[in-house]
Amino acid sequence: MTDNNKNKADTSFTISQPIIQTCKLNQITDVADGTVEAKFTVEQPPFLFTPGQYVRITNPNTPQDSVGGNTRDFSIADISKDNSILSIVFRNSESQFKQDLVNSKPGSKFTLQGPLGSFVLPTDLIPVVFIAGGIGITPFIAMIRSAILSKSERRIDIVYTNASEERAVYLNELREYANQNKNINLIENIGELSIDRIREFPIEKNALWYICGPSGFVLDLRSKLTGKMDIDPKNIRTEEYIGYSTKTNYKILEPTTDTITELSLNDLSDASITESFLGAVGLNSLVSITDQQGTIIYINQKFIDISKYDVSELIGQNHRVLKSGHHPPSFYEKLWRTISSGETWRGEIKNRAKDGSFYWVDSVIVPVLDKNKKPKKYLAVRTLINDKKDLEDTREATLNLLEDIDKEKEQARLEQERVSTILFGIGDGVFVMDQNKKLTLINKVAEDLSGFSADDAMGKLYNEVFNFVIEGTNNPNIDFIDRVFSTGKTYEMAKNTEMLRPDGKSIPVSDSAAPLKDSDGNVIGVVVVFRDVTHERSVDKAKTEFVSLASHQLRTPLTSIKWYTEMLLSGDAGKTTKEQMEYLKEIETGSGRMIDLVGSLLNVSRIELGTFMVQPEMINLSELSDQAIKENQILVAEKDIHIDKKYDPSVPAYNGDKKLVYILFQNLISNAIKYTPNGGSILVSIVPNESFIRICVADSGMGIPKHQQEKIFQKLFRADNAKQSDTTGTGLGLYIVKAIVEQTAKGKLSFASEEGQGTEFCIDLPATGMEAKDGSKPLE
Amino acid sequence: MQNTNKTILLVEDDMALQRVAKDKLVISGFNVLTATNVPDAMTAMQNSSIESPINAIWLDHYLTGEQSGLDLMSFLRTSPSNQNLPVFLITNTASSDKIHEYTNLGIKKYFIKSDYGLQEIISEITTVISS
Repeated sequence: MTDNNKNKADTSFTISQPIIQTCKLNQITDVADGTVEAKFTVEQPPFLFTPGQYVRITNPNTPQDSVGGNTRDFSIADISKDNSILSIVFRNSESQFKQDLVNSKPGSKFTLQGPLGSFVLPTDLIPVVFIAGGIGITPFIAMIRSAILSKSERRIDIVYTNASEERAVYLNELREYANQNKNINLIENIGELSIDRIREFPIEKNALWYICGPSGFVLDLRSKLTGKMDIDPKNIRTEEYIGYSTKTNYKILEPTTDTITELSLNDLSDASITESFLGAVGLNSLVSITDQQGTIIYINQKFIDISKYDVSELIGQNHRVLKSGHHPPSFYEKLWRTISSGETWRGEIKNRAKDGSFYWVDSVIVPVLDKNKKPKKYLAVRTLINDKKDLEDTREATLNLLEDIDKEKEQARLEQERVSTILFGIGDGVFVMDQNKKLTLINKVAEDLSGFSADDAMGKLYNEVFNFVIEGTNNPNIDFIDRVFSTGKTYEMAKNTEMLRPDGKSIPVSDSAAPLKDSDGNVIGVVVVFRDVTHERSVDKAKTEFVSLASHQLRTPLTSIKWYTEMLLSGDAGKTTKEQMEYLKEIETGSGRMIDLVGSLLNVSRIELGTFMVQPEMINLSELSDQAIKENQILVAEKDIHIDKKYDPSVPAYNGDKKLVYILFQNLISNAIKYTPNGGSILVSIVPNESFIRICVADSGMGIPKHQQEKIFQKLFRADNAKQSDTTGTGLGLYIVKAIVEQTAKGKLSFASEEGQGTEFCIDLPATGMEAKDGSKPLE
Repeated sequence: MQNTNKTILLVEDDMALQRVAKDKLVISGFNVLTATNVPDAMTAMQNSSIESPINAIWLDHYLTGEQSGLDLMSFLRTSPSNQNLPVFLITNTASSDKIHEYTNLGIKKYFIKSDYGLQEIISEITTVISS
């Protein structure tokens, strides 16, 4: 705890470690005019201290918000032999603290923190000059007593100044000490202590000067000693606290040559009022003083408390250590310009404390002017307005929040309106069911189609209202809804779905069901959208019927021509002349062409009407290619055409409709054969091409004239050279090939051709294959 | 002639086609009964006996009247004595699901008329009947 060297030859300069403990008031005694001694019994003796140190006493019963608060510092005057009873001496005053203390009953509890301070005698026996102003004698008394006790031979000159003898506490004791000890001198002064007087005192000027008393007195004297008596400032000691208030601990490290005399409290008539004033200001405000350059030379306790910095971290620094980053540089520039021109600045500043937290202060910065009206120092008094700022921030945040809430409400309302509009306006029936498959929403179209009203329908199980069945039966067709619940995905109704109404009518319907999910992705309901497709289905039916009928109507007479010609040609209807045979052959050829054309036209119309089916299966492309080649083998042999095949074994099976893929090979290969002269060659290749399968048919044939190349995919178009060489083409083949490749296989068709040289057609089929498609008839 | 004693029931409502088909069938040695509609065909079926059976049916899909070839097929399948009667669907039309239905009802073969010559068709029929 304490490292007390009291019993050594001389007190050491080391400071005892402060402790905090409770103590009880022992007694209050008047010891001089307006002067009180208070004795405290410490809870845990021994209380050890070095003479000159002070103690901080808190009265828990004094309100903290009274002027000066409930804590004061006091120089320790004395302690009992067993170090259990501590004495302090002070001037009585009207302050709450002192009044409470003086009126406290013995036994009242106080908190004691101490010993504090380094205002102690040096280790070596340097002469000391004690200048005591009034009550400032207190620490000196302790020091002198201890010096005498230790039989020190140090020279001690005491300058004791008082307003009157009656107020001079310990006077008699001091007189006695001076009489009995030749190394101790006492110079008594009543009234003002001028520097001239001090100069005349028989005191050792080459000494350590200790000044103690009211703050104004101390500061004034110090500046005079250094300024007018050329005492080295290093040889002047003052207490760490000046005045009484703990909350406003002043600390002055380096006395400047320029004194702060201008700020001198001597300007105020009564030091104690000044003290009160300072205390009052300092209690609520952060006070700091900077020099002309803006270097901090003084700060008060509140400043320390709020900024969380140590005194040493701020004195000698510029205020910019506190910059929060909130204000732009222009803010500080303006501030500086204002005060450096001699004007007071007032504003709100956001500062940053040592721990990184922020605080707002309402600041007033007053320049202190010299004789020439130029600023020499700046006094800043700041009030914490965190609460106000917090309130403002809270208010702003609340307003923002309210705005956001309003916006969201508006959004929700608009959304709801939108949904209502859609539900009302949509031509489809819409209904929604919850997790229990009970209806929660149903629109007008759904009502009309189902034969139920919304009132009747709501809350019922959906299938009690919407009876989806398989076409022509009573069997429920509702897998698709169950699937949505279990997989969370959207599903279409089966194609042959009908809805059975309570009145027995059934309506063919189509469409889909989609999941409704919560924010976690769980399915909490299903929305079903459906429509009456009676009309659509009948249109589809009509289209297919048309093609069927057209097919039948066109083919029947053609078959007639074909068969009758066949009979004539075979001699079954009697003998024919050679010429008749030739004519009949032409009829046969012509009707054959018609039959081909009708077949192609029917395919084209199916393609255009979209009524053909696609039935994918895994097929071997090279097999189909071979088949198409074989189909033309007679012609190939006749024309002596050489066919090369290049089937890459790495080409996988293709998921496609056999008939449709066969048409592709059939067309390209027969074209190649048709348009290649005798002795020519053809190359059929099937190879992989990145994510495609590439089928190419190249020939050494007549090629396509450049100016006609853009037309070759048009329906019924035949290039001039093709028409000339072969009369049997329909002009529809490439159109059909293109439609199958692009629409069904989602692939690409390309070609290159040079007239007189040859042609190559290439089909790129996505390896993913064809998608199945419902239709009434496959292409032929 | 190899087809003597074989009777074909030719159910075809286009008279031009019916005539030329019948002529070719006769030249090929068949006995030919004709009908243009389902009721007539059914009558012919009923009239056929063990002495003069119908050995095969040349059936078109679209016929005169309300009923189509399919209806005849259904009728045939219901009468036990006609279960094994080979039926050839020779038509110029019929959607793929109709063909499916015919196949389910047990036709032997089907031909798109305009794609085949008479001789081809009759050869097929001959082959099937002989076996």
